[in-house]
Amino acid sequence: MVQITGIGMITALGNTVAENLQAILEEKEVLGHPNILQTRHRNEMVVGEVKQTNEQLAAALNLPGAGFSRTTLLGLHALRETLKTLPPEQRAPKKIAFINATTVGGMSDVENLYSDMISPATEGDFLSYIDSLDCADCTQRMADYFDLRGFQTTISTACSSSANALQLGARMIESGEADIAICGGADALTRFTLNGFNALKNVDKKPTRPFDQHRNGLNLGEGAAYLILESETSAKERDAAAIAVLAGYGNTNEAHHPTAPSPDGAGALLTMQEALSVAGLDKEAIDYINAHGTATLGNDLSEGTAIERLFGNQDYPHFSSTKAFTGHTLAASGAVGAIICCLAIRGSFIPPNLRFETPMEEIGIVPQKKLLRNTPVRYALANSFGFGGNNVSLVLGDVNLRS
Amino acid sequence: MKPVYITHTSAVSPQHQDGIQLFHPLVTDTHGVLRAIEPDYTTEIPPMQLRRMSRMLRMGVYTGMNCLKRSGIARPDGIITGTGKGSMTDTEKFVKELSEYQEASLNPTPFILSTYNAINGAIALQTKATGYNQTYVHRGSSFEVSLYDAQLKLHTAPEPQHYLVGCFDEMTSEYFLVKSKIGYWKADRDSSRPLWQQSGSPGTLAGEGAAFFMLSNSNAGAIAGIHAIQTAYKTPLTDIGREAHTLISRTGWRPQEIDMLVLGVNGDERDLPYYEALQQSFPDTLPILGFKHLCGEYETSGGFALWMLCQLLDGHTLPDAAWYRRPEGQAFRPEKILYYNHYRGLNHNLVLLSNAPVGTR
Repeated sequence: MVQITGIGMITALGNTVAENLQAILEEKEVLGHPNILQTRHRNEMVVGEVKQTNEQLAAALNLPGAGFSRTTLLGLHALRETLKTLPPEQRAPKKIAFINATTVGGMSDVENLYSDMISPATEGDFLSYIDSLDCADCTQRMADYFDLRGFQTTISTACSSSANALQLGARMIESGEADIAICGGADALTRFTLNGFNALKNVDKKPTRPFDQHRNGLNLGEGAAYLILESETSAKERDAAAIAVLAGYGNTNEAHHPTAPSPDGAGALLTMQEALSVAGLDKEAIDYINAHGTATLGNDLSEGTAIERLFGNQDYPHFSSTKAFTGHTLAASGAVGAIICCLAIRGSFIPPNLRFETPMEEIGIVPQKKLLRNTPVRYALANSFGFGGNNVSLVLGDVNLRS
Repeated sequence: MKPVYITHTSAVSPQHQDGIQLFHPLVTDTHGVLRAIEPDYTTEIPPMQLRRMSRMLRMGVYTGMNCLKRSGIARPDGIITGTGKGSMTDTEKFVKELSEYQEASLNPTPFILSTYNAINGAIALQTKATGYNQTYVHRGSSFEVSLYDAQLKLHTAPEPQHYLVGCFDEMTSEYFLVKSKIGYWKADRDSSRPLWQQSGSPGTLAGEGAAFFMLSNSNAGAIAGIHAIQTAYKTPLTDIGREAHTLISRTGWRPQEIDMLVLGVNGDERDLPYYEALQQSFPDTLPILGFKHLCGEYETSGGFALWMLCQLLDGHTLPDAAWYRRPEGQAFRPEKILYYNHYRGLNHNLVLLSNAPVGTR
């Protein structure tokens, strides 16, 4: 059994898990125009921005103001919180894997310095960011900061990246390859991704409305989230309390289109079915689905159809997209969703799907519009679907049901 | 974990592979760069799709599809790729267009193609492969960790399964320029001399290529076995030999059984000490296969190395120039091979391989 013994996150909603939880319970709306991201769209688009500059983020970590990409800084903040339940003295005897995920790595800073990088100049601020061109840079810098010395890797499967990090970590623990796997992802807001999605006509300029008939695309967010996965034996040895369990996972490819999911939800359905099968659960065990729910026309139709095909339109579990709170945090979103599932399980509540008004015509199910308290969540599904057809579903469960 | 077996391979590299003899004539670097020889992509990619693909996409999808064709498997059970940079051309293009067009009227194609998982997605789409699909982007361990994940997946598969595992990276002139500013490349390179004669200075050759492998948990039709893969970050110089010996013991082998080394020596005096440290923990008579003088240095050059090793194990003769230390006798076929490749002293990769057991082919 793979236990979750640590969580940490930073999003536009808050700098810690507690702040994120509080904001969800207060149904707080934080999406707005960007102040920190320098973009010509700043007055016309809303995003989920962490309201700390790079200098502020770095200072809080006792790091110099330059040389670290925003992606790395966000990652370090979330990982610092995650590692509170795994102090350095408890790390030494363990086989620890660090599995990070990002979609564009240090692009947040490289895009500001790229003209210098390709100019004839050989000296300048850009030098310390040259290695941030790739996705491993943030992983390695995070490993350096916390002195993580074991297996280490970086995954990039677009929006399912950190969900993939979690499934790899779970498999390494199940195969005895690791005692502990620290898994998650980080992505900062960039002009690169904002304009990429905008060019694809996937961006809603107003606050996003997942699963609504009148939805019109996603809002980009930024953030980082990490979970500690751990074998039961290892957790017991160091008296670590389990927050929840990672009971199952599915990874499939939709093989439908480079960027669009199939309208019949075949890919999403297959992924959720595989996750349930790995968890050894019937669909009735699921009480909540943290949907991918990007609010693009394609995703919500495909995912909504898949949920309806799997669970029917009568006794289907509560589902919501928390991207209406945080924006789409890309590579971080899978881990953000997984942590929100942990919170829902621990706190017996269903996170609301903000701004939902009108049911979609094509499907007979609707997301949970309002916060529901005192609602037991035994098992939760967290969906992450990406470009390239890379789909992942995770099953998180109440630790008391698995002992 | 149980070993996995390589049954088929395909590669696009800077070296020739279609002549009577492999790598004939040998291609040397031009201005410090080894560029891939691009094949006729239309044999593997429908023209409609080919038109929408950039160079890296073509190279990667072609190599993956060609590996599938050679193996006679229409639809793999899983697809795993590793890349340091993905389609660098598309990334560069989109970054520049952002500023040129001031974030207006952008073509989304380079954005889509710059995603690191675009190639495994495209191969899945072309083969309707809905199984496991994954992309590793961990700089100098991107390829080796892909192999590791394949072993982890196949280890738990009860039935014989076939995973397509590959890697790709391209060298662009912009990337070459950018990395030259932090001393990646050899400034005083004289391409008329073997790279090994210029190992006394910093810098290496830039390279590129793609390589794909069909991996199975069944040894039917195997060319080689992969027994253990270890990727590590910042392994201290003094620990390299011990790490290799520990991995060998843990695999149930004895160090003296190793009869060949594959080393990522690259002509950079800063990178050489790690390879020397490893060599010192093995007899100085072992043949050593080098590869970066043939494919250049890049994050996933290990794919080319493994492909070349498979050609040797499959009965091909490698030219003398391929060897860093030549074996005695023409018919040398190693049985147990240790591969060690590191990237700039940061990402250290060890792989234990065997010649396929007799009778499996």
